[in-house]
Amino acid sequence: MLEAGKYYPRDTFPLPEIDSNSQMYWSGGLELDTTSKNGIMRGKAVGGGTLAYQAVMCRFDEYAFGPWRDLSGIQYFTLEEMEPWYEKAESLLHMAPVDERYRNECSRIFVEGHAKYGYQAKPELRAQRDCHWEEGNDCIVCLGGCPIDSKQSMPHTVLKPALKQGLHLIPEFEAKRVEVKPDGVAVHGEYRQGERMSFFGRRLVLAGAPLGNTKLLLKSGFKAKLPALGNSFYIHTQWFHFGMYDREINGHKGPFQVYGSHDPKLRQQGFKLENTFPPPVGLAWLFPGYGREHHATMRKFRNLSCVETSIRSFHPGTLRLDKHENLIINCGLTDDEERRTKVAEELAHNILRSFGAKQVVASRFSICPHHFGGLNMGVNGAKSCVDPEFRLHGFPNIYCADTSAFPNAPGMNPVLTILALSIKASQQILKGMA
Amino acid sequence: MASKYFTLAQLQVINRMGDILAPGDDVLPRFSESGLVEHIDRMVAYLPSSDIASLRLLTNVLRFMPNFVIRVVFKLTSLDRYFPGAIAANLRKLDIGSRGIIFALYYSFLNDPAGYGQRIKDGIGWDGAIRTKPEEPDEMPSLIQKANPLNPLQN
Repeated sequence: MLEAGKYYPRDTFPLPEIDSNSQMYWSGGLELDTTSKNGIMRGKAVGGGTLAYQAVMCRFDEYAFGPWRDLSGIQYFTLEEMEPWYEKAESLLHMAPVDERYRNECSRIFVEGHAKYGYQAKPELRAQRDCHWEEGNDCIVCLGGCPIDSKQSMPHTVLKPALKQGLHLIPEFEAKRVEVKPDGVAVHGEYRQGERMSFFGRRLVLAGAPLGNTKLLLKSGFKAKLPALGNSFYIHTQWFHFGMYDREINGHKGPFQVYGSHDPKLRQQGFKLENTFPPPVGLAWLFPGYGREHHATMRKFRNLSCVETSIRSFHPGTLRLDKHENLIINCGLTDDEERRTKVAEELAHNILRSFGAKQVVASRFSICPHHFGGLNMGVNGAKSCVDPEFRLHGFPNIYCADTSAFPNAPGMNPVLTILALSIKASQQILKGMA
Repeated sequence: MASKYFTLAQLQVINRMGDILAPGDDVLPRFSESGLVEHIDRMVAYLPSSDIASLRLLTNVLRFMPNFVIRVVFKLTSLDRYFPGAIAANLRKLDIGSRGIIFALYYSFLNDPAGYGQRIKDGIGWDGAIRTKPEEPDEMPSLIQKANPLNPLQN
């Protein structure tokens, strides 16, 4: 396993936010799209984004799988056929909803606000255990890595048994080029930002997510044989909405992201509301403005409640390289996404106002920890990159099963499905090797 | 004040930008007073070289501008919606970049000898924490070390 980021033992996570943002994500924290409205967050560490986000678990529904079948022509994207793979994935993690006793005022506003407007909010199934909220722990800290191994992140769950079975792992190696050889695949890159190295294997499994995988293959000249490479790029835009109250809300205390909207009416409209709260640097950056007024808001952050809206993009964007081989991210968002963003914003603001918020404000930018495509799956090699057996079309020794292979944005938290598809792909690879 | 990436003059411009974004109040310190700009390298070291070059260019341009011009520039960043595509995108990039750097330095509660990081933390009342100490020993560091064939300790 070759990983561009470092390995952080649980007691050495770079906890000041300035360090976790810059060290644990590519490009110092964010990669902006061509409009500079959307900032893509891409994990760069052993464990990647699972160090921050591996928490909300859900199986995809027909609203996700239906379009996947239509776009890809792959018929196993059904609830029934994916069931055994989800079961295997779930067996690797400890998942449970948060005990209602520990929900904070921000969560109460979220749940009761949904009910007030005729929508359902339900507890999220979270991949964590023994968070010890009774000892006063605040899970917001674990956005920079969980120091007590409660969060079921990849290193703690999947990687540890693999290492015990002999997996070789080389952190701080950045892959720069992929080269197909007669009997396998070579990966050329840099170790610790200096030493050039190459590795050879009979098979290569790409796991760099949409931006990483696409950039690597574009730089390696795969576009000529994979015409769909870099097409079909999708995101979830995530906007933060803040309500300022006369009383303390303490949205940063206790468990994190306890509830989500689980409502068919919202699902049909292509958006979701989430019960989150940003840490101080994130809050200062997302809350519009500056100067003394901004200081005053920060000093009253305990009186803020937060609702996050997550908008599913339906229109494909593109990933391309400029002449300097920098990645150009076009999210392809249209007036339709803009309209649904406004509808979601109105609901979020109504929820916040209905419990007494004196002022309601939206972030001016979206952050996008969920991104999909670039190497979309499909049966047609002219319109897709990855075949139903998880191999690149025309390259039988190169596999991919992460979010870059997703046919579009599912509008749901993707982690459990990434794991399920990876297990399915691993069986396919083993079958091929036999 | 010393930086591997910026000259003293460029750091002074970042301090001036910081004083507009985080001017301080009766509790919170002014950005330049805090001296937190000294920590800028720990963030900039991880930025793409093109972003560092843009930041240097910005500070070189603003260096010769009076403060009111810098205020106008920041004001323009909040009016992005009135500008055409490419100009609006650059205004947003300036907003995201400048607020990102200044607020990351200011609100990360960094340890500094003068205690400004702690003063800002106390000033806003931040108390998020994990108070539990893990009971089980962490076996991952030794597994990671053994798994890396390039690790000199292994050979």
